[in-house]
Amino acid sequence: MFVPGRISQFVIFLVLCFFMLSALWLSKRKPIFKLRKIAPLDAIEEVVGRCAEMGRPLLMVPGIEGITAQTLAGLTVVNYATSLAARYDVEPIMLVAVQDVYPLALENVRLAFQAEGKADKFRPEMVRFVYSQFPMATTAMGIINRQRVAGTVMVGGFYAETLMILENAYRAGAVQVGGTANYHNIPFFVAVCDYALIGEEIFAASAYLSKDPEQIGTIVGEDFGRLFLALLAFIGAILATLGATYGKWFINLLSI
Amino acid sequence: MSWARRRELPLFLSAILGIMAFADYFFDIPVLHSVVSDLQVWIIILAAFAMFMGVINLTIVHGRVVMREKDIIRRGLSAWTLFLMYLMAILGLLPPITAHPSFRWLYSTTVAALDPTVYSILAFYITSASYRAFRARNIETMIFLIAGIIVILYNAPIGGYLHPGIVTLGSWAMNVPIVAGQRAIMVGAAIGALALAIRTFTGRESAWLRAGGGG
Repeated sequence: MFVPGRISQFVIFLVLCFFMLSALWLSKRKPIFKLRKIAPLDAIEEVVGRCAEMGRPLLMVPGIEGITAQTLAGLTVVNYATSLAARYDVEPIMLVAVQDVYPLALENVRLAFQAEGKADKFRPEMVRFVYSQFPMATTAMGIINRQRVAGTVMVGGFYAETLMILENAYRAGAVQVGGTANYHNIPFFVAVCDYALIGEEIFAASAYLSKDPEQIGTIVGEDFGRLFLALLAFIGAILATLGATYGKWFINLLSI
Repeated sequence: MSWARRRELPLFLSAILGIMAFADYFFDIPVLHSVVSDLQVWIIILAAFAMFMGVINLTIVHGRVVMREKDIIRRGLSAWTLFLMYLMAILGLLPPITAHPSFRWLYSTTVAALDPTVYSILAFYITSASYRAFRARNIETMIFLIAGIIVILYNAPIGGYLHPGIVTLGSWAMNVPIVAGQRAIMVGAAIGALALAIRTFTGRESAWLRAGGGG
């Protein structure tokens, strides 16, 4: 019934689900957990505020991946920024590099303006589809330099285009909030952005912004899941140090 | 609100199809595998439809620039963009589809050449960003700077000639602390993505599907 070699993965998956669902259930009964401050998410209002003060646009990119977990996290953050932009009469410019994401992004921006009672101010060109990585990067560089954007919000799955966009926005004097879970691009965000979300912080955006106790519960469950995996890694490290004879049963157990 | 526009429907479909994809990864069930394979074909078909929306968007954005913009250079560039986009589409549809010699010539002399050209610009941006990042302002940035210099020298041919220890130290830095940090981020992100999936499947998370961001 099981795909060979995936029984142990399934057991670990069940343990992680157990932690998250239990924390969610506990939070539902009584909101006992609190999230620490995540400065980049708090700073989004500052970024939009600066755009409003300077009368310049806000550039947003929800990554260059298709519909993945990182893109959904990125859309959550840019949806929040779009709502603020609509509220403060800031022109949002969202760049989308993958066609699957484009209809979702377009509809979200339209709904954001509708929710703020400014449906008449929505224009379809606020969301621009520029297919693939480097054309999107050059478009972003052009927009940044021509329209002198005052702020950028870039959260999602990013690759080599990150630094091209961030450096141009830095030179244009934009306040930048960015983040990704792609470890190879995190240093770029940390080096250039004013506020950077690192790794799994991007997935906590929805829980943090909504302050919903049930969502916060799953974040607490994640932490227990991490402790569990750290424990497994610790046992593995001890057994590897003792030698192949002692560690073999552990490797076999995880390979089932 | 009509039932077709309600948020619950896409969330319900996401949950069902997501659970099926999870199950297909762990279990060897031929029927499920066939259904999930069909769904993957559907994703490609839907993406093709979304591509049409993208073409319409590009036509609207650049069409407005061509019609309204006063700057002659911007008008010209937008007109050129539209011309090339439709030219590529038309040539791509000539038989044999996407393999016609004129389409291949245009692709290899423009897209295939320009992509690495743009990529190469990254070297200059990395240099300017590194200059700012490597300024030693406190203890942490000092450690960062020293580690950066060791890794740069380890990767440069001159490093080994200057001192053999640089190779040993650089190799250790690349294989031990850097890999440990990368794996920690990867594990953390994977668990974060799983939590997002659970929140989506249980209907707790729909912020990516509507305005506002939270909830």
